Amino acid sequence: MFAYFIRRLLINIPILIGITIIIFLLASMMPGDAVLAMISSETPVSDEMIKMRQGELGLDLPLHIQYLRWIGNLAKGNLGFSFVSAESVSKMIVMRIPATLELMGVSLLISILLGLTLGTISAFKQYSVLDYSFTIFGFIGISIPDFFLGMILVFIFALKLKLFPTSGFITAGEEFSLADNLRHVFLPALALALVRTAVFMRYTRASILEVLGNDYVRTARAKGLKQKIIVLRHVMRNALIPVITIIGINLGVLFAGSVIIETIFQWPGIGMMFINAVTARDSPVIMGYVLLTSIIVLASNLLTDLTYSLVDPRIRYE
Amino acid sequence: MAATIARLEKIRPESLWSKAWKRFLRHKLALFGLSVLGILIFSALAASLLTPYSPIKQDLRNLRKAPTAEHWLGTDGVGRDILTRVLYAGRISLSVGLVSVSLSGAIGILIGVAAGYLGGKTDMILMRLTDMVMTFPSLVIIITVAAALGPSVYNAMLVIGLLTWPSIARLVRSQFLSLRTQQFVTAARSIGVSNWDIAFKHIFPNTISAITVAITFGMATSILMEASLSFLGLGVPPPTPSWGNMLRDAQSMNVLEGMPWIWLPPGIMIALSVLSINFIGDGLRDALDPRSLL
Repeated sequence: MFAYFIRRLLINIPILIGITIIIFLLASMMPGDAVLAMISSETPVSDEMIKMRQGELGLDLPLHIQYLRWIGNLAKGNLGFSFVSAESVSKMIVMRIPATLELMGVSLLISILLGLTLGTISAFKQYSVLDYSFTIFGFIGISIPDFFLGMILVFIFALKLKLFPTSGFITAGEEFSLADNLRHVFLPALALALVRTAVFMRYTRASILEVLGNDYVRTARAKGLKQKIIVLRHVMRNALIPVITIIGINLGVLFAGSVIIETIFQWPGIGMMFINAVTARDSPVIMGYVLLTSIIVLASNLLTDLTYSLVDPRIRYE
Repeated sequence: MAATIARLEKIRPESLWSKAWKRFLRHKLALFGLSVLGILIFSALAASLLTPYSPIKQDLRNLRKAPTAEHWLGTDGVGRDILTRVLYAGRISLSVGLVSVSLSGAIGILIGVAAGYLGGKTDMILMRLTDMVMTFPSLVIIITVAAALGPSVYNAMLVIGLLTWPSIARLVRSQFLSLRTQQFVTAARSIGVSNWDIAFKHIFPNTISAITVAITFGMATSILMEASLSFLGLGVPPPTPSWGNMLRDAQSMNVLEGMPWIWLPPGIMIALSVLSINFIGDGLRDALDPRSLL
């Protein structure tokens, strides 16, 4: 088990190095750079001044040197400084990450509760009207772009019914209060949750149906066990294992998938920071964000594998 | 005599494909999807015949008009007919989906075949590469690459195609791994068939049904990604309409609250086309499942 863990961890190192190289190349491909981005068209700036400023930021060095400088700084935990605001990128991320985590957490909670419940009902009432309606709901869930769903939710619940605020983290000009904040997080979290609700529902349904077909369930029935005990002890315990994997894999996806929703709802998380950085061609911030999300995807896949092997004793590693 | 021959011809065994087609026709959701997608494709292609308006020309006397008899879905911020734009946008959005999924299918198949057929070191290296691309949070990377390349229809196709192939590569590889130990492969090898022919003429045809299903779902994903990119202003650049960039108008609260005719139609078109393709994919999966064909 321990050896497996170590091996799994080591496999990720070359992948991570490859990712840093690609991220770096991408950022250096961006048209224009920080210096050009800062120049406004109204004040004339001489080419020499541009060159000088580019030199200060190290933008005139050969690419591989710039890459090594970046990696060297990374190793020290320094993600560089924003070209636009001169803030430290790591500080920017640390400041904004709680908002993203809150949005993710609430959204994940909604989709797990809804997805597992609907999936379970669907499986035990297979081929019923309810099952078919949930199936179609699931298809709709994976087909609507989350930002369009977000607009519909804002239109109905914020603009027409006035139940929730349209955007933001808290009501502007007011002291922070949890109730107010939760009212703000609800709509974006719901918009993000629909896709995953559909996915979790489909997996729960399929997984329960598979377990229901097993011999040991028939044996349990033949023994005359109560339905409730069969469901809880024999079916659900086994059926939820694959569902855990899916939830784990979705953690990483969710983390990176909130960029557009954060932008629409003006949610001050790292997703909005990333989109703003893309607009401003602020490559240190872009690189920091992409690196962070890639690491989180890697880590959540790794964690998922490990949890999986802990819950399911049938899985063995040589 | 002639009657006997006619009867004998009738009981000729059905081909696998015609059986699959029959199963597909029994899938109600898939049929619904096929019809809706058919209508969407037709109306996109025939857009210039269906509406008298131009998707690009501005009409400053008719700004943000609510639906009327002349403009069935109203007009946008510079007076362009929404219905016209939605139809023309279908051309762009559907072809970005089609081209990028073809690109990702081609890359995925080549890498999957190479890894699964050649095995060994090639497999190891190709699979690490696949893992790496898979680890990238795809939307984030697509946004970054699109920003680096600049917004254009072709860049959108390229970026989406270049980042969505890993799932197809993995699928093809796993199929090849199980198929290459089969007897028909050994037989082909023993009579001296070349590696290329074994891979593409003997093994590959057996993987087509699985690839078809994967590519269908991939097309749905590609359309969603194009919509996201264009919505962020990194995909199809204006004034060319795409469903995603038409939704950009709804970023203004005035439009979102008071003029739903501007943003509802393109959003509904995205959802409808993706939903139809997903239904078709589901139908194909049921119809092409080798276990159900026996």
